[in-house]
Amino acid sequence: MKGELDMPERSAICREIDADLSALIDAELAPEREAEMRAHLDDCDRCAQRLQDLCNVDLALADLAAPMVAADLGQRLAARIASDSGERSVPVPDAASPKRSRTVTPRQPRRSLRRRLMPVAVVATAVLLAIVVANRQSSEVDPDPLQLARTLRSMNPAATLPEAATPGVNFGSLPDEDLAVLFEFDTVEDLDVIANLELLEQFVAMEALEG
Amino acid sequence: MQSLDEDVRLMLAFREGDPRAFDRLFRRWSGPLLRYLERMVRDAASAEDLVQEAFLRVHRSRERYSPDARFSTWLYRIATNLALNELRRPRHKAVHSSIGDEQALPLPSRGPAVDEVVDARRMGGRVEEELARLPEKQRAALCLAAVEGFSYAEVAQALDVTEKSVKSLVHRARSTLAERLREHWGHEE
Ligand SMILES: [Zn+2]
Repeated sequence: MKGELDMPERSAICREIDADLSALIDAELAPEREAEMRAHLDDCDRCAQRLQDLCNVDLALADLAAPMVAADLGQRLAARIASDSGERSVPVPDAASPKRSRTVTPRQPRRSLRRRLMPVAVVATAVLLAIVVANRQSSEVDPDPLQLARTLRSMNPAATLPEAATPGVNFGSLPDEDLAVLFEFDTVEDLDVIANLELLEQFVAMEALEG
Repeated sequence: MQSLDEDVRLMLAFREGDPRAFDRLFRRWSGPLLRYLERMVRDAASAEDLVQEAFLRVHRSRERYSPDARFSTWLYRIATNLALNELRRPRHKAVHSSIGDEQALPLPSRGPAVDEVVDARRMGGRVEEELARLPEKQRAALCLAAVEGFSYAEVAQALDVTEKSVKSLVHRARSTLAERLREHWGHEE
């Protein structure tokens, strides 16, 4: 802690800085203001700590497991649209594979409380771990929390093309032909297993890195 | 950005009568939207329902879509309104108080170590609980900005508030969560 932090005029500056910290994380500040903020943060432990705390929120949010879309959600939606509008041949994910003649019986929605991991969460964890591991090897250097928070934010499907952002099984981005393959998995649990296997691989790779 | 053009293109194609464009939009956005709605209403079944409801409304009101708004902003605006209505229903109040008390796990204030990152997965419930305790609009603003990657201008459109309000909503939400998570994780000087 620096003694000068207790000086009142310093506190006033810190309060102004504080009010803009979230906007800094979200890359919403004008370049001049961002430069000003960064200069202050280099100099002020208290504000740097506040930034770290706020960035930790983003890391925690990125690390939350995301729900997997039930394979039959599109079909259930299609049924609702059909009854809503009286239309026939409503677009449904399964209609993408007309060659398959099996009858689709809508599954009962699963109400499991078990959280399902989506690849996005796996990627977020992998990035976090990679940065943490790199950071351990050079123990003096803190990871740039701002960089980390912004990287995680930019990996979210809503911010980028889902196709590009989410490797592995992604119900929402498969081309039509591959959808039939996806439906070969009979339950969402199968997809769950795949996602968890990917996560396991990340941990194994990380342990190997650690030696 | 490429994704903007793609969504707008799909929505316009759907407006012109191409049903596969709607299918494509559903597949692109149902995942992110389900995640957002689950954080908003904290109930998997309701969230699934609201995803369907939101897309049903997109389907119904395709004529009203104008390409000057991003498709996602429009979709999330519909979804946010549905979520806020859902939260106002009496039966929803009970869902919020059903989370057990979890043990606080230590997390150093600067840079979590690997073991704690793994432990942090177990903290997910705690994080979700604290997120749920935030006022609705703060929660929505933080989820849209920090998780879904919306700009403040887009969040403002989705929530029907000013950008200035968004800035303040996001900051209050993040600050409150930071404080509460810090209490749970503990911190050393
Ligand atoms: Zn300061």
